[in-house]
Amino acid sequence: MKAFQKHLQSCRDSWLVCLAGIVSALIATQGLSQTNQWWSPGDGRMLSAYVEYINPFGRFGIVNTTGDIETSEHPFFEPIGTNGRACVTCHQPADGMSLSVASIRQRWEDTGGADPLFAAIDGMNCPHLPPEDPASHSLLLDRGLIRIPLTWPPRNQAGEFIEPEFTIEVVRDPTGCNTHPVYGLEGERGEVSVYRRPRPAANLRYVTSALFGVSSFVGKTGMLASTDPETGLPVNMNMMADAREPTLKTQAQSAALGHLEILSPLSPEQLEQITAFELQLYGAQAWSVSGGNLMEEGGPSGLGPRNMSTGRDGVLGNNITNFIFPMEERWHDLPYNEQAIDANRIAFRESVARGHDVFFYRTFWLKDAMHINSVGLGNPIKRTCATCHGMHMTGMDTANGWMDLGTTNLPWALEPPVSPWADKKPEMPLFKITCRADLPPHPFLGREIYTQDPGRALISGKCDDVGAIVIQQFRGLSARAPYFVNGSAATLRELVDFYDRRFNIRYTEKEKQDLINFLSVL
Amino acid sequence: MESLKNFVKTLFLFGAGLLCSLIHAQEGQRIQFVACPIVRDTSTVPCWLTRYGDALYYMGIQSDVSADFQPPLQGHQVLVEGIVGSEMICGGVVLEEIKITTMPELDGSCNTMLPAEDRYVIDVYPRPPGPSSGRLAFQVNIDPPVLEPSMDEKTFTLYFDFDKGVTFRQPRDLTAIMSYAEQISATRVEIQAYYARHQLSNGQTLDENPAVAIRRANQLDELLNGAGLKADFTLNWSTTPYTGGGFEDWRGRRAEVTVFP
Repeated sequence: MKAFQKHLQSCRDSWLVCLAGIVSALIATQGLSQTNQWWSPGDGRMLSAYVEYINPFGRFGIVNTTGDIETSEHPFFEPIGTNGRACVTCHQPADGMSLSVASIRQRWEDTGGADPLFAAIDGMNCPHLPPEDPASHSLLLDRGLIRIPLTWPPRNQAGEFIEPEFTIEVVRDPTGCNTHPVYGLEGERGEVSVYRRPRPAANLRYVTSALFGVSSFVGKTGMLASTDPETGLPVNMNMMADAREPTLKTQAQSAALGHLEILSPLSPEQLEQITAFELQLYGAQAWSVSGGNLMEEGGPSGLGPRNMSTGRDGVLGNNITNFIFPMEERWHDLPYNEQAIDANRIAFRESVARGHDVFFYRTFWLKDAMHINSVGLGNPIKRTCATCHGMHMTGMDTANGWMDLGTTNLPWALEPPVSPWADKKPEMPLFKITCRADLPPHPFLGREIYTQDPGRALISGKCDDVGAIVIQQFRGLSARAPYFVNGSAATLRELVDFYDRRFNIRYTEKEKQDLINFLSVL
Repeated sequence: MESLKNFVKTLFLFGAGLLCSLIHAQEGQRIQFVACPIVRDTSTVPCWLTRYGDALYYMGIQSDVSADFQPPLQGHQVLVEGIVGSEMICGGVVLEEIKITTMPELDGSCNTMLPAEDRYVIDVYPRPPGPSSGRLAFQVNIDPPVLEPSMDEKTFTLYFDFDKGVTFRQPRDLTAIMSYAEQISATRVEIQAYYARHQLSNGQTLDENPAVAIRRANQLDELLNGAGLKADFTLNWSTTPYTGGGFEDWRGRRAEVTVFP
């Protein structure tokens, strides 16, 4: 109370001091973090029960359902490995629990490249490169990509080698890693290096839900589903770009051994702590620069981190019963308000509502997309975005959610033009996949496939899985550009343009902007 | 003499062409052929057609994964078996009791997409082209049949696409086998796999690769074992093709899994 009286006094003395006081109070009461957006391992800060972080479109909100967390000695936040990293290094609260290129570049500038994020193991294009040279980290600095080395041929969960249905040839190796005598495909380690974006470590109750479409057999292929090594039960295989880890615990263990270069495996207690933390964390855009408060009373129930924390998981939302991102038509035809600031806000919200309808109802021909056209729906099929992005509240696929939308396979993957006048060189590796002649070919790409990342096929060994990538959640997009598994869309506009080209949708400019506005508030 | 030869040759080619153009199956006739699938847009859901001889046939409409008719893949030919009906839908003669399977090899010429026309209307469609009403189009097919309490041996028949092993079509059957095996505490499983010969209406025969029977048997063995069915497995596969002589030849693309207590 005394503080309030003191503040009133300051208002009488100076309007500037008064305004600063109000802003400070707002930040304190709303848990808004404007400074120290970057979490370094071992910071020892407290992660509040609710906190917001600024991004170009507004603010990303994080709900921690168990309340405030002291992060000191917490294995998600501590540098428990040998390279100084923690889980939080690549799962930054301000970046939607993922990692944006803007943050990566800022970190390079702030630390001169000394931040553990840039560790040689996978923060460089290849470990043999000179660490002080930014070019050695170009895929991380330009596209936010972490190197993922995967052994070839793959092994199943029992550790037995899988006989692949195809051979891999390195056609192009701009990083030098896939032809390196140690790290290359034919090298000592027998690894394929692919480069992928970190995925958000939030809303994982949805991502790992076993309440829809989970059985011993993968619904899209009939193959065996992965199982939880603790329970023996099948899992939904919707985690990571290639679903190679079945559970949050195995993922944490694998990430600690790989990305953190930990010397001995995480203890059961550490695994429990990490998993519990990940399952209690919910994130979504909370405030929009143009649309205002996304969590206000009576607003759409599909928006905001609090609604994420209370939503139902394992629900198919591609229907008018559940909806994927429920808007309840609350932002359709809003009442006109003459005040300019409200008029802009109303116009933006109506645009978001239209963008939702473009996402949900605007039909186009989905063609030649493996694991969607190939699962009994026909090729082509006249459907909408919501067909593939059908999971209630996240926009992922509901289960076993890998498909090839063309983000890594040619001819649709982003490739710079090749000509005598082009100066931009390809950044990504290129592999030639040759499928066995004694088996049916890939139904859309045949027996010779060129890809920047074979995706799920590096785990399953199946020709049909080449370039198939698990669909990501849509939450916090504003906080974590660039997009797609290989960071090939720098902005939401580029993301929308990719689909427009890929499926010849022919969106109008208005539809594109509406869709972008809609995606920006998720 | 040369001109006479040319005349005879021309006459022969003309006759052959005429014969082809006159392939016109009668109502009630069972036909089987390989052709390109054609998709026609409508104001609602697309319909699927195919041309054989001088006739355009209607195969079905786009729906969802619960439908009996699951549309083919453009970029491939489709093997069609059905009985010529009397009804016309979407500009095509309806094929009753239709069974289709996509041919595995790619055929880039199979890419015909026809625009919507006002005269072709699909006004009964269990699933719209966008979001559903909250359920699958064909509820009756959602759940596997409830298993009768039994301790008897039981045979499950699984049908496959042409030259294909296990795909998205099999998980429901595999799950049913697993459930029954658990119910009777199965000790023995016999797998008998086949490959098919299709007697086409143009007189040709179309055989699956004999090796696919082995692949089907081995895959079923691996999958059931891998899913935890602990029993003694016996694998058999046919070395001669199954054929119905043009009548339901698709039944040859199958495997039988018999579960014993």
